[in-house]
Amino acid sequence: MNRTVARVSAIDDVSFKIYEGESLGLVGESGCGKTTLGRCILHLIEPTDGEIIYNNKSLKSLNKKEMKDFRRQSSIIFQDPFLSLHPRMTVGEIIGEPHVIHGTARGKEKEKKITEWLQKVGLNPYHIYRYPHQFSGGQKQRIGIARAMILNPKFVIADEPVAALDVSVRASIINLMKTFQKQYNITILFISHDIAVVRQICNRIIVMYLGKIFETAKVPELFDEPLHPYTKALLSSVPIPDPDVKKERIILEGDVPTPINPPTGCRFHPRCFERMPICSEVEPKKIEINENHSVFCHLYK
Amino acid sequence: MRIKNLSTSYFTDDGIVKAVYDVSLDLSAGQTIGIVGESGCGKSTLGKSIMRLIRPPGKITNGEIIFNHQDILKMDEKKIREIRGGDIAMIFQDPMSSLNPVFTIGSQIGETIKLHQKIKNKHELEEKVVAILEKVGISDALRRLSEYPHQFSGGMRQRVMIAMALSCNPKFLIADEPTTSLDVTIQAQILDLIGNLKKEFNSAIMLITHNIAVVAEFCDYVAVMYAGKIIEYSNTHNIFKNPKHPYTRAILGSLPRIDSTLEELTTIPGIVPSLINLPAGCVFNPRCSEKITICSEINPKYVEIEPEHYTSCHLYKEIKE
Repeated sequence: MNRTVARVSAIDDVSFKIYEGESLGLVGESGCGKTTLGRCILHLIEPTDGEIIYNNKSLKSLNKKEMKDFRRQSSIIFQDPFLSLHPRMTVGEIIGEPHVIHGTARGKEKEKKITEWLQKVGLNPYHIYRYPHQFSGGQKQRIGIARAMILNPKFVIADEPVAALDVSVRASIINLMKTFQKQYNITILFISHDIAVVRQICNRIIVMYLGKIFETAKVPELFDEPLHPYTKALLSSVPIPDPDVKKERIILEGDVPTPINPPTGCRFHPRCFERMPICSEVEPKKIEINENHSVFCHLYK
Repeated sequence: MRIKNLSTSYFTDDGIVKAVYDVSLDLSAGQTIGIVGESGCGKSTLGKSIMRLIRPPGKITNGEIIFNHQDILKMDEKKIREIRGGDIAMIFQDPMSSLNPVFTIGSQIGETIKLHQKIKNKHELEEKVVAILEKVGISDALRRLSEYPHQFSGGMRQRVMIAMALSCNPKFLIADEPTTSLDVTIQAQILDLIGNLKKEFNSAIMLITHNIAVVAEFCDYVAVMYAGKIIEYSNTHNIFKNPKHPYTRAILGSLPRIDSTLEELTTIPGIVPSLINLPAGCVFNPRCSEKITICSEINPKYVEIEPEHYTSCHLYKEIKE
């Protein structure tokens, strides 16, 4: 017996563009909807409303062949290196799988491409016969990256690709992704709760909160001149590894509210240190401060 | 607290895992020390060893932990249980694993207070529990006493853990990754809370974490661990501004920061060694960019190289008396 108990709106009326060749960061804390958004974009989840338009065509309108083309041109790197690699497949089989699915390479040619990519991610050709459990977290993530890159995608979504890794390992994966992006001119959507990591890789950032976009800006500008009070609080809570930097820390009150019953008006108003009466009544519309910086907040006109 | 030459190993079928090896540290009231390191470096085992929470196949194989003039490692079970949760308290990373899901929050905190402060009167107990919940910022505390852990958010549960830990005014608090599973704005709240409580209770705090940035702001002293050993120790300023050990330097260089974009982050080639088969000489030598011949032959001694600055590395000499 099926009964809808509640509607959880993971993403609510979100619109934005991703430009070719850019590295766009999507940041936010738990429940902001960034992971759901990533999966919707790749059509791994069907959106309830709205459209994803790729190369001027709506994903909903694509026929089977066009959808396959889209899938060939886009790929995803997952957060958990343990869960995203099939434990009973060899590394060679895992990395080569996209070619098998799309029928784009076979036999010797496929093996050559697999070995090429293994080397590009810093692993050894003989690793193709090994199984995932024989590798460290960082190495598994490299395997995941090789798999995501092997068809030379135009668009890659990286969903928290370094969150599960140790600090020193993160650095090597971040460097690797930056290199690939420059070398192959890939468009990247980088989803992360770690805004410091996003600063290293991305040239533009979107800040999300409870299913809504709050602010969008180019990278140095978001950090130098954050506009939305939530962005300011978020940035001020990130610890800086420098004891000499004295921070004015904005401590937010309360917890992130549940997406089942989001607050009225601006979803951040109950915790906002700059709230005004209108904030609990009317949802803020998008304000474009300049061509690269926009914000959803009643403080701005 | 004075920890001297502490070693803890796990005796497994594959071999002896030297999880903590020859660790020495001092900590005074009101001071905070950060124990930092990556996975498997031994920091959690260190924390648990101090609380004598090591279970077979783990065993503390050497050392002394002097607390209030007594060696914790020589105490009997009864004495240790008095101290644990009383004078020394511990907060863990995942509150759900240390909060019993079938008991109310009120009864769990109450149990700790009853045990250590020997309060029998129900009313008095309830008052104390409400007071401590309010102290850690849980509003509407009286009503929430009868709620269960699953009804609290992650940040709230961590506050409950802190409430339990602080309910008996511990002299020493061990916090093992207290904010790792929390969002960054909630992390800021929790660290702020611990900081305020530290001032109020004058507790010594040992903050165990892989998040080195947190330590910069929160701790007075930092010990960097690698493969079971402390490879560098000093006050926070020295560790961040004047790091000596190549591992410390590499780790600091690998950290992405929100106040700048670096061309390339420092990386460390290779992976952490197996704690069963440690390399000969210095444990870090196979991955070290500054190693010299002696490094793969002899294990460097842990010595003071500048006032209040210790490291185990052949590149440095011990200061003369």
